[in-house]
Amino acid sequence: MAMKTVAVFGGNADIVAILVRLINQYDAAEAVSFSTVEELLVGNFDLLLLSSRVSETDEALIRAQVSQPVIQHYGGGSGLLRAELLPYLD
Amino acid sequence: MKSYELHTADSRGAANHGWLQSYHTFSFANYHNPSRIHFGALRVLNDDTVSGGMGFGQHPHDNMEIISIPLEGDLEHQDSMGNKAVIRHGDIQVMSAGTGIYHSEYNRNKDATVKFLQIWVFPNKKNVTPRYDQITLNVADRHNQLQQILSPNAEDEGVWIHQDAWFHMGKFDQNVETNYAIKKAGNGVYAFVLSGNFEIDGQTLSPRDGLGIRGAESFELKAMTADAEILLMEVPMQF
Repeated sequence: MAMKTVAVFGGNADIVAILVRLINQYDAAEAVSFSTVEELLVGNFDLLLLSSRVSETDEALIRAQVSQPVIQHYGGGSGLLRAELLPYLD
Repeated sequence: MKSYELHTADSRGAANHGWLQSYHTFSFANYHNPSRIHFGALRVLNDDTVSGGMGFGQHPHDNMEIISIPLEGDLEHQDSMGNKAVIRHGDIQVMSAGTGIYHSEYNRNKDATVKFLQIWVFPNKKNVTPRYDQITLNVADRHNQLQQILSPNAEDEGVWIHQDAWFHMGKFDQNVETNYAIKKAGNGVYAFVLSGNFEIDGQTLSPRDGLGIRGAESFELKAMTADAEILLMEVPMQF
């Protein structure tokens, strides 16, 4: 099973921290987070999970420049996370 | 062209946490079924029973329209916007989670269970300002007719959400028939039976069965038993 690195990016620090903690409980994934778009764009990861409080401008920039799969996370916690990530994990 | 997607009650995902018994129509938490992710903008339909005095501790949500419909008992809600309220049968509660909120939900009574539907609808706009609302509906207005309980319009009947969705509830005597006309072209309807049996366009539904209806401009529903109650959720199929 290949471990995937999931970048979590969003402006709600509490929710980002929860998503990072939840992802790190998965066997097939580990999470990293970035504080700014600039850091994110030069970061190393396999998947990007977009959380809330990302401006439309930043999201457009991210989607234009990130070549890895970008997943929009909805709900803010564990409810939908598994279904969002599983299609991308081995 | 009309098409139908039947989800029988016993095909739902089940989670028993002791204090919480939940049935998931769509993939949720540890229940994952790739063929049951969502019906259009309807993403979550959880049928929850919470033991006396127990509940969901404080937890966050974002970017989701969250609707709670109590069926039995008293559910106490508290959130990071300063709202503290109890909802019970006949009420409907809505939260636009938007940029993020925290809330808790507890069974207010130690000696009785709470049963409620937890429904999540994808919003039509991300990162809205969080909001909370609850109203008390006159349940007599749903006897032998469909009562609108949710819409996209603040000035319309029921609560409103950030999505082109309309919810209705009805409780019917045996053999009463009615027609539902789609409010917005292209929308689908997910029908969920709360009690009794119904027939929709010739398909028979039992308690807690769900039927997704696509490509319809309208459909007929008929109560096959007494005190038959149904929830209709019209949602965009493209969003």
